Amino acid sequence: MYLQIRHQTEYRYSGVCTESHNEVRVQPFDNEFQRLLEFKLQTSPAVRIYHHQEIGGTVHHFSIRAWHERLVIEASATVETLAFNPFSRVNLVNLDYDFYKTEFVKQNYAEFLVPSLYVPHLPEAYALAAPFLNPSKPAAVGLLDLNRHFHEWLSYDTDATHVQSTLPEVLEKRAGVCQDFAHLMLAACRSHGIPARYVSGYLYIGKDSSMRGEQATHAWIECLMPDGKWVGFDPTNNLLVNNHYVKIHWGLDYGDVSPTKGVYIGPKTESLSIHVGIKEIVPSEVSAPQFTPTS
Amino acid sequence: MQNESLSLFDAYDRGGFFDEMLTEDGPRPHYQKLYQNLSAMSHHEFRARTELADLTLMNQGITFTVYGDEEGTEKPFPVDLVPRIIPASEWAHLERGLGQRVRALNLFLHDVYHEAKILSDGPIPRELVVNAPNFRRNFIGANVPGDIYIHICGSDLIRDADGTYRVLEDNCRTPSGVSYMLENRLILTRVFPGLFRENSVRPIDDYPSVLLNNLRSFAPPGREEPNVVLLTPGVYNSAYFEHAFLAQQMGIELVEGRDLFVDDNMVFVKTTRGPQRVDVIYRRIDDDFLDPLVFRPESALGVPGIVNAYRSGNVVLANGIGTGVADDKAIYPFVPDMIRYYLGEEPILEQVPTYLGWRESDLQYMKDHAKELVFKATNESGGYGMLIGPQASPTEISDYLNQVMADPRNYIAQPLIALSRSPCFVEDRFEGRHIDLRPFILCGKDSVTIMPGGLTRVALRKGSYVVNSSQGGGSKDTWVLGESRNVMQQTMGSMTQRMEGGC
Amino acid sequence: MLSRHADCAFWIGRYIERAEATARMIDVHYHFGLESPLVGRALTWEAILAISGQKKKFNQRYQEINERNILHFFAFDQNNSNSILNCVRLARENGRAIRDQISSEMWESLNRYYLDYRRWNVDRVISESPFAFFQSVKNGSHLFQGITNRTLMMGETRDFHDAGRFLERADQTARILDVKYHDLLPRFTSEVSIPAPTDPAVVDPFSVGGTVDTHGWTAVLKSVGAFEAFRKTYRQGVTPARVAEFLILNPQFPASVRHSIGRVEGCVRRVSGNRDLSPSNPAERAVGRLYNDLNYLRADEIIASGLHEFLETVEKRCAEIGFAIGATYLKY
Repeated sequence: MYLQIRHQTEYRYSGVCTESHNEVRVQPFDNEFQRLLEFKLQTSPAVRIYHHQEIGGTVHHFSIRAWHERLVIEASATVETLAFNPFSRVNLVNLDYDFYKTEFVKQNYAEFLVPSLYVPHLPEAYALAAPFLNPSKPAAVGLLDLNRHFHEWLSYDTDATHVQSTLPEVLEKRAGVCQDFAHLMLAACRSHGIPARYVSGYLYIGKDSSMRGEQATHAWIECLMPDGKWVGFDPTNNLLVNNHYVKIHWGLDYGDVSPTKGVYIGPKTESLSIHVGIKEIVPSEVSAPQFTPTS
Repeated sequence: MQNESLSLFDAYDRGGFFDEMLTEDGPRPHYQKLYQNLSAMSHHEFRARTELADLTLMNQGITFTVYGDEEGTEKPFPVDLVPRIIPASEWAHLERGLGQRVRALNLFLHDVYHEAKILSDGPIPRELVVNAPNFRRNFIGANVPGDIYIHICGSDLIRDADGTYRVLEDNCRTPSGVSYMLENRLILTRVFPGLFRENSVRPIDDYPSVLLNNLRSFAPPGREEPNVVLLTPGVYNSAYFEHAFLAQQMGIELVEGRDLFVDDNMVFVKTTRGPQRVDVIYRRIDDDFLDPLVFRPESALGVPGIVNAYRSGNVVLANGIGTGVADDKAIYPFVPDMIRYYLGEEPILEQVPTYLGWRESDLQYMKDHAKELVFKATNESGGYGMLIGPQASPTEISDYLNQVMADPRNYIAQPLIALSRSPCFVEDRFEGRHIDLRPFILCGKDSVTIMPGGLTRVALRKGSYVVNSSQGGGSKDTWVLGESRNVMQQTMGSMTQRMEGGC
Repeated sequence: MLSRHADCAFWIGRYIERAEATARMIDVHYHFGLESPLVGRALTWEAILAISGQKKKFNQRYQEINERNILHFFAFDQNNSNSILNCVRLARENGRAIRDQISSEMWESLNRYYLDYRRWNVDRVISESPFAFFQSVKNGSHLFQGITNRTLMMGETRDFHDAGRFLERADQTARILDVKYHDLLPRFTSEVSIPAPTDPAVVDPFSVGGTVDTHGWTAVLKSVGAFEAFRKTYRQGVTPARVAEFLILNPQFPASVRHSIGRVEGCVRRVSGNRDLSPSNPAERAVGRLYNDLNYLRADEIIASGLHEFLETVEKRCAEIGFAIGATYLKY
């Protein structure tokens, strides 16, 4: 499937901003599940953009020292996602849960088992997952059940939480957005010794209006499976990640992957608007591979 | 006058410790001449020299800032005038051991931020490294010039009851104290000029020029006249004096975060002649405060964008980012393994046996033997977060153990080492006080330079083992003797006695 | 040099001058109030508030305009950013920040100035001696400036310090003149020209040339330390026009606006090294433009077109000069 993505972020300030420094994490991966055919990032005011690879993906960064009252960051990407059956990638038969008890996992995936900035250790998250995560079932089955359970247990509500909401608040309200679903499931997995990480990306919904996640960037998690592969679970939509998902960045939690992050000198931000548009295109509409920027 | 008063060494009690100067049979050979000089001095005379030294300190503003004081009170850093002497052969051993150690630490940092072979091959538990609070995961894959992360290292050495030198910890982030090393020397040359002529003390005054040359050598390619600056958190920092002193000695600009800015992925300093590009930054600000864009967003001390400029190779930071994982106290016990792994050599210097809260068997031992152990938080420094079991009350111990149990990874414990002592002037005579040694190690692109000497810190409070300046410590000049001269030149000694006030 | 260091030097110059100007202003009016039974105290305290442009700020936090409150507000109020206390404190803080750029005598003098000042409070000033208090502030500023003259290398640090000091002085002189003009000539509007010196035998003490008037203008001169110099220059006596001419245009008097602005121009020209007639940056343009006006204007032209308007323009242009120096060298 060929997807064309346009992702625009606009900050408006209540006065003149004299200096601004930003990091942007919006470039989709180019890997075995998705091919990045085209990527372009530009800003207004226009400025030279640099980039580097960090462990969880590509980071673009730039500094603006021209006075401005408005900053627009616009990314456009064309991605080919490869069709695959997500269930064929996981073991639904053999009892393999003991894998998580090994010293191998404890050492080699140590960072994915401990609390992180947005994902504290919460006994409540452990308790919620306990009926699902245990050696009586194959790990993938338990995780799929948990995925469905959180999908039902939490209600999707864009007003219940905000970017800085903590996990205890989410548990108390039993409501949140994709970020909260992902953090809760991370907490549950980690407390049970299953290495898990946070993923940011896009979800192409098409005409199916029952799914959530297209208005902005989406978030889901990846769990380490007993065969050593990372597999994506999306508790917001109760789905195993498939070719409708475009992966941008991974990290321990939201703090590692936020699509835009900046510091500036100026008055307070008056408004922040984010627009993400994804459409499916036919191969003939794809232009030659082109990566920008260069530095 | 002199004959009437008692010798400063009368009633000197070694107290069962290893004494740097004195044995049962009198002074050690390398202290012979100093001992003769000091023995011939009355306490009036010694006090007069101490007063002269104090005056010099105050006049030169050699101070450190005490935290928690509203206006940032500055106090002079007390200097004890009896120097600590290290003979050439001992120093050669230390020099080889420290050089070996810092090479291994730099290789370790390069490895953990790249392939992390040492973690997959086994000598160090991966978990301890990747979950260390100062491990910067986002810098995996980032390169630094010459693969050098630690440009300036201050390793703390102690001597135990047998006089064996042991490394107590390494300081790989922003080690301080070198200005006191240089100033102590300056003071002693003023107060006891004669002693230097007799003892062939190796000079240390080229520290600033070695450091500056090293820093310049790391400048980004194509920068012919590299601009090097020293970045300080500002006047209220406890080590501000040192920052100002070093900048002045190196002839470089002392800047604060607000003097710098990033444009087009390069760092500039704001001057009255317009922005000037900066190539190398000797930074005395911790990682966390360096860049609000990447680390703590609320930090106003740093420079937004500087970390990405560093990562792109457009500016060099000394020390590099992420070195804190190398001096994490929970990693410390594995340094000998690093040396074997990277260099294929046996460690030259001993360490102190260490129990890790992280390891369950060690944790049990720590609980059972708390009264015999010294506990430390793994990422504190300056003598904070410590518990000295043998000197603590049962309540203090149980309170502390509760903290340990809440976060075992964050604590280590070591047996209490009977630190060596050195004579110090107390009131009107000499008494033994515990000391340690912080040598300063400079890494260039292909060379390691260790200043012959270092900062000998003294626990001035009687019986205290804590030498940190923030905890009532003082310091001594540290003399490393040259190899060439015979240390037993009797004639010089007797001359000094006749010269009396002139030495 | 680092912009921040230049900024600190500039503000040390300004704060030390401002501390002195504030002390002088209160001192002279204090005594003027005490000596002049004809004028109610309130009038002079009001005038002081007007000079400082801080009447509103004062009224927000004090119930009554009286001696104690005025003294507290101008000398000791930590919330008044222009109080002498804050000026001395900030001068010292700036000095600490550039301790290694200035002479140690300068730092010691700033430190001593501050520590000595901290021993004063309103009660002590009132019960002991206001005169001694104001004298100690003036001495503190003078000592520092003298030490600076004697020990600070000729160079950028000094030029920025002096630029701050003389810019502040020009501004303060203009303000004092402006407010006194208002205060003492309530009957004139700017359209009416100032009459020639009148016969001293005028009956109404409040009229121009009357007792109160002469007394008031003498106070203005005293407050900028100009009384004796004025006397030597004008033997004929104190008139508003002469006072204005002396304080604005006299090239020899060190606190005149013209002299002060001339010094500022010298400083910014030395910093840039620009010897051309035309300015090389906004700072030079702003200061050069004002200096030229002061060089070529005549006193009667100023008065004919309205002294108040003129002084207001001077104050505004001083602010512009400060901003231009900042934007060119200090904060970009």
